[in-house]
Amino acid sequence: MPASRGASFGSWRKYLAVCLAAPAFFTAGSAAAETRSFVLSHFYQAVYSQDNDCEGGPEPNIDVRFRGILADMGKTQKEIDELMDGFNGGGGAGPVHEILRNRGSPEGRRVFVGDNPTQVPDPNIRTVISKIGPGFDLDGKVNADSFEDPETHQKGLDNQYFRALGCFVSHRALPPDLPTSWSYFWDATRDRTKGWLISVEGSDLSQDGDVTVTFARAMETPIRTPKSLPQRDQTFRVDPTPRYINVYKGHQKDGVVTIEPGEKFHIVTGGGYLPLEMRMTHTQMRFKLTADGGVEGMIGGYEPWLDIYYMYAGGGYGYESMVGLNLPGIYYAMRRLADAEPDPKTGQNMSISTAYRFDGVPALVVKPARTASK
Amino acid sequence: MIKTQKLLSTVLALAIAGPAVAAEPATSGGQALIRRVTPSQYTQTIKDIFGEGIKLGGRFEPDLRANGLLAVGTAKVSVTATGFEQYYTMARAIADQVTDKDHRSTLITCKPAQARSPDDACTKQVISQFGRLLFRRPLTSSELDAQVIVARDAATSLKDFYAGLRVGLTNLLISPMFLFRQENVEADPAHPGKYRLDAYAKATRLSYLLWDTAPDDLLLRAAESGELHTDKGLKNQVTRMLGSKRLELGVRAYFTDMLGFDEFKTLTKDTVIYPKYTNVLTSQAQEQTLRTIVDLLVTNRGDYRDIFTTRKTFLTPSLGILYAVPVVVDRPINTPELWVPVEYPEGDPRTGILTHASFVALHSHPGRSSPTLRGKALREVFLCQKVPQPPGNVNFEEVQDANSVHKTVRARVNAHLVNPVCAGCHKITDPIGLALENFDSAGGFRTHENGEKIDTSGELSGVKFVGSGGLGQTIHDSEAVASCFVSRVFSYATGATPVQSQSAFVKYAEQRFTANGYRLPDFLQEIALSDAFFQVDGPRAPAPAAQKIQ
Repeated sequence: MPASRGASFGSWRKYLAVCLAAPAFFTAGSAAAETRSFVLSHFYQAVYSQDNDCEGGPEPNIDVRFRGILADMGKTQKEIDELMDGFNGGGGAGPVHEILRNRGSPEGRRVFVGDNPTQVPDPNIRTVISKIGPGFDLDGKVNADSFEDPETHQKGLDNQYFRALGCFVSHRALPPDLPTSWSYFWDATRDRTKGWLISVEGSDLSQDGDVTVTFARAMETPIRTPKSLPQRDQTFRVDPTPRYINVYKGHQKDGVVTIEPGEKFHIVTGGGYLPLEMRMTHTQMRFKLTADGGVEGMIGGYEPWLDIYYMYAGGGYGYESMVGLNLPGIYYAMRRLADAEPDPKTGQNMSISTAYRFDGVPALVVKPARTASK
Repeated sequence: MIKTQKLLSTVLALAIAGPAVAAEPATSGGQALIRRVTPSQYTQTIKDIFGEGIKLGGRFEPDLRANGLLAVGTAKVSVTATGFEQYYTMARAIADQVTDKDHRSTLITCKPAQARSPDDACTKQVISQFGRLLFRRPLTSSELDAQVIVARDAATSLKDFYAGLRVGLTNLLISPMFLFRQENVEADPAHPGKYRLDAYAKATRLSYLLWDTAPDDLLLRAAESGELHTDKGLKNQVTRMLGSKRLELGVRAYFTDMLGFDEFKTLTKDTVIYPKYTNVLTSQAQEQTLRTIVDLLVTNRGDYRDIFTTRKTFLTPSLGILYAVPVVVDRPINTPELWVPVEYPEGDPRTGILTHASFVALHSHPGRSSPTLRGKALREVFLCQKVPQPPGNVNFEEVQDANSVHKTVRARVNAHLVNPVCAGCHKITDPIGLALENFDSAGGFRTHENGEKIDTSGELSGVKFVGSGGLGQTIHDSEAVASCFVSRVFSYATGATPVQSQSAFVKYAEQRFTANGYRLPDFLQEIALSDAFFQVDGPRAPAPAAQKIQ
């Protein structure tokens, strides 16, 4: 089947007169003669990991780091060896886990360090020092923390989120590979998460010109292929909650669609490595329609870094003992690298520049059906 | 005087009925058969007798397709040792559930005097009640006594009435009298020297044809009372059964057999090439077609031929993905998908059941479509024409290489046809199968193959057409399609392909089918009330004694 058939909602509108109503959200533009809609197959942090991009190499593995933490806590080598004997691959319940999990100790009480990151000193996790990386130029400036796009060589790209966590092995990948943990958590949450839809409308999407881009949440969960990816041509209804419908003016040039920057982005996620409510300002988006009828691109902006941090902390101690993260380390790194929206009183930046890659397959997007039979 | 009365009644009947209706021609040649119950008949029978909640806990032996129908094959199969093991496993599982504490209060209609001792009276009541429904006739006294004795011995040994009953029930469920439909004949008092099916065999034929299950209590009563041997009694029962919602079961069973859906058990698709095809679709593809047929032919009493052209069908979200058609229904996570009615717009290529995945995917290779398999199936299933198997020494390389210089199947098939040995058969299959080339091996729609536009022109018996719509209309208009259907339904009903001496009835039934607007319920009534449906030859004369060689 040619890509255009499955991807074009317009060609299927005739069916809707029979069993479904036309989708108001995706055909609202009166001038729009063509609409193509997609459900996202992946959504993950935009990274670009290379050799030597972290001073001293990536963060050490869990075993080594835990030994270091225990040493910092004043344990002797003998005590450390005895405690780490019960480490059991990170999944056990021995004394070492209790000590490490609850290493934040306000006023003598032992509490989970993820919820109380400032109760331990900044462990100074390794952060990305490379100048090459993906992102968007959110502030219009080229400065010491900016990245240069590895393909277009555009400079001044902001993506401090990558800089903060990009030295954890679980967050490292060189495109087109996905960072391991992002791949895992996105996949693990798919069957309980509604589809994310991107739609692009224009008078003729085979030509350059103005477009309208919509990023919305569906009411259906994607059905998966035998390879666990979303099926092409599944039908989705847009969640009518206005807060989850992001509409942007955009432009297509040389097959690449970009949106006019500055708008907000808001969507409910399925958890995993994303805050349950994802809030972004100064949003930028860039994507292209692929030859196989799909879409691939990137979205970025500024997000409240505490939203992101407490998402990690909410994952619990397992994110440290099994994934290999360092929760206080993430807290301090994000606080240090946050680059927008300073608190008027303290001057501390409360938002951090982020970027995410995505790809998707053609979808049919409509309003809910009226009737169903068993 | 009698002749005058007959004439008057005939005139009166004509006046009431309107235009003259030809009477059923007298024929002969039916057979009384022993037919193994099919998996769906077994399943439905257990469900009807013991309730929906009873699990079978075993698997069935494969059926045998003969002359295009599994129903005909049922008279040609026995039970293998492995098959019997499975029947026994299922019998034990069913008997266990029927007598367990959860079910006994509702299914066992009496209580033993003492739960740890045998109770012949209660056993007799239960065994005779279930035995009548399972054997589709009352048990003989020796059959009943045998099970009562077995149950008594078991209950005594195991000190448990219900354990004894379990053994008796298990024996009923593994009996050939249950597993096989044994059609008994008796002398026909109305036609001295001739034979007829006995009333229970008659009830059984009716029930399996119309409802795909064993006769219910009312039908057995009609058999017991002799009512079923009267025209009025038979008509009452047929009318009752045709008016029941359960007619859908019978129609589903017939089309499941006719359309060869048993082949779905072994159908595989290359999911790298066709990621949309999943196991879910294996059952949903069949269900789509069956729902479409039942809606058209039973619910709306439509024209049978319209199954090839109807724009109406039913889809699930998964089928919507396969067909790239919008389908949305509300359903909680981890619940079965729901069905929605869909009507395609005029001119849409997806009209008719030939475009359903149940046809185009079933009759394709795992990784590529096949106009030959589709054309063959179309001729054999819908037109009752036999297509020979290919010779053993054919080189299929040209056709099978999807990466060959020939980009489309049509081009590959044409290249293959330079071999005159192949050309003969391909000429009768490919021109119709190629009209369905807009549908890939999984049933997905496509307009191009390897970048080349697909040519869907075709031809059937000199009629040229384009695409699935043209093919559907041509089949719809073909005379052979109705006569094939009539013959198939009659074979399905009787369990045997019509013989020469029955051809007059088949011809008559075809005329009636046509006259009644090709409506299936009317046609089933015609069959169910006909003499030919129940007609059987008598017992064969004993074979001559072997001659002794001097």
